[in-house]
Amino acid sequence: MKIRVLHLYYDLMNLYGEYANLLLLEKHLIDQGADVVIDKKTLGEKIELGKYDFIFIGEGTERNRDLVLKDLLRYKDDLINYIEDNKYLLMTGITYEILGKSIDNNEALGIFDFRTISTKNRITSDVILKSKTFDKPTIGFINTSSKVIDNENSLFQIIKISGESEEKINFINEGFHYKNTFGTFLTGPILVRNPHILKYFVTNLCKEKNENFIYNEIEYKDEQDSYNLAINELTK
Amino acid sequence: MKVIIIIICKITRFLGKLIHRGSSLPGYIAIKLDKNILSKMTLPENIIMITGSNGKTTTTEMIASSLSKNGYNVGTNEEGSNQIAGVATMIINNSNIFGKCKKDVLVIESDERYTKDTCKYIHPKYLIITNLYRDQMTRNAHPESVYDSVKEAIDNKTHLILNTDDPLSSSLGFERDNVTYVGIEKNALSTKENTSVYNDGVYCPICKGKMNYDFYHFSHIGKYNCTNCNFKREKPTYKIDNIDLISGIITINGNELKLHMKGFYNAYNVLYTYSCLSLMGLEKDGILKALDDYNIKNDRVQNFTLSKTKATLLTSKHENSISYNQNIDYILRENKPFTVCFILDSISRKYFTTDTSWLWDIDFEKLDNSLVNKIVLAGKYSPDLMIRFNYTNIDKRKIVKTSDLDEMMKILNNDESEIVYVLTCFADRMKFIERTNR
Repeated sequence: MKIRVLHLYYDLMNLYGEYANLLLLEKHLIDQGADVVIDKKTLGEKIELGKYDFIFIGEGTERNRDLVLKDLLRYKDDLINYIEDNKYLLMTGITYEILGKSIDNNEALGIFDFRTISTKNRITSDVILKSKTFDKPTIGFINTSSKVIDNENSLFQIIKISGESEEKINFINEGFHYKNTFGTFLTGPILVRNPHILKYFVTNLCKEKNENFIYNEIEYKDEQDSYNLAINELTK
Repeated sequence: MKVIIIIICKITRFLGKLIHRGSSLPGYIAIKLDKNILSKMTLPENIIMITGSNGKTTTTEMIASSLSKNGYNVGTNEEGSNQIAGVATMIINNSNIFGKCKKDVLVIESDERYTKDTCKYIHPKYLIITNLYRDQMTRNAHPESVYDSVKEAIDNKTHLILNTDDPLSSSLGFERDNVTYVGIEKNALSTKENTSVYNDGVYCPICKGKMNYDFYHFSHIGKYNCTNCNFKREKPTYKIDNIDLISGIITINGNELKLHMKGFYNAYNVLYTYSCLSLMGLEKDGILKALDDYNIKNDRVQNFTLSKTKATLLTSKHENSISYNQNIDYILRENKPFTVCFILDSISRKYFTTDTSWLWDIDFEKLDNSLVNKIVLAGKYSPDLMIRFNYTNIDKRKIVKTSDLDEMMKILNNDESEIVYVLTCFADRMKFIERTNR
């Protein structure tokens, strides 16, 4: 059971310890009996998207997001094929904005119909979200000065917001989900902080390779403790 | 009206002091009554403003103290009162009721996110930008957005003093006149490779081309040039030619000085002070004497006695990986077998967040070292610390985790290492200190 993972733009989209997602994904996949290969690629390098089972792009600054957009234009068709082939793509932070029609007045990849507009103030908040896709509440941190509109395929609904923000969050629907493409404004190690999302990807990646795969329950105590703690703190 | 506002501000400050309240409220009230109040004050020509991610408080204190020792009558804001209201309080309290400031020079620490607000009304003659790093991103957002904000604050007349070793903050001087660059030259501690878990120096802050590094001091701080445009580390006018962090001796433009705190951080603070005072035209001997006499208000390193050994508390800043890395480098340089304890009980003393992603930016991997006897991970968020350590190569038998701080204290009191280092932040350090006195 060989699973190929690509950490794309690892040296550019890395504001919040995103590489930790790959460390945990690798460990948990290995624990389920998979062979894991993780490649790292960045701007200007030759990228064969089609050979991967899971692609991850982390959160970066607005300027770095725009560089990624420009670089990925080379592979727009490959990316569409990758997505339509039901392969797994996860983007954190503002990165998924590049998949839409436009970011302010600039054209984006145009793979989907949503658009992004910059906001004057920045939202920085801890949030709890729910989703039809994942079986438990999701926690994380949002840091954005833009919002996504005309999005009919949101991934989450925000159910609780805390923390300091220049601007109140004025959207309830958050993130993007189509086939196995996932985008969310949540930053950083979301697979570290949300054991249920990690398990979701681990299970589904293994099932893609072996339809009889059954998840072998393993206790990751610290990861579960960290999640329970954050849920407690956020619902106080 | 101005006179009345000034009097109200002074009375509020007086009353505030009686009940030990913060120093921002009087200025806040003054600005509420007249938002242009600061423009109506008569200020001295010499205004020095210090901003940046790390080192601004110490640099501000060091400059203020050194100027005082050289005969200047100095006004300066208290630690933490570094947004416009705190600055207004300080200025009004140093002025007569007609709004004339009685000081020869103002030394103002300014929060990097709010410098643009303060600079609408106050035009510093010198603006020192210490560095722009990843710092409290749950509040400040990322360094590029802080850069954009600081850039808005700068007007053409202000003379910038920039750290040429930090690409992002020094790029504020790119193709601009009226800049003095300062920096640390290549030395025995320089490394060929970046030794940190992340590298914010890969791409040029001006054009996003690939950068090339000749050497690193730490993290992405070092000598760089863009392979695509003209941006590069500019030659520093004021420079540390040599730095020895074991003896604590540095050489600034050929003059030897002893650091009161042995770290790159403090070396930079001394360098900013030396540079600024030199630019103001002070005599070299007077500056060196003041720096030599300077008793750093150093509560960031404190020593304690435990049952079986001694402990040193090193205060870092949560959500600021470079500050942790500096302390990890320090304890490894001390070269004694040690136990280290990290306390993560609350993430910030000022605002709420559960985000611990910054733990992945700290170079904990460096603790995979035979000097380390034991690693104690303590506090409410110890599970988050433990996850981070689970994904290092450090021998797990060396690691103990506890959420209970009394239990932590028992572990530390039973420790027989030559020394115990406790690394934590302002928000959590009292939780250790008060337990040592029991």
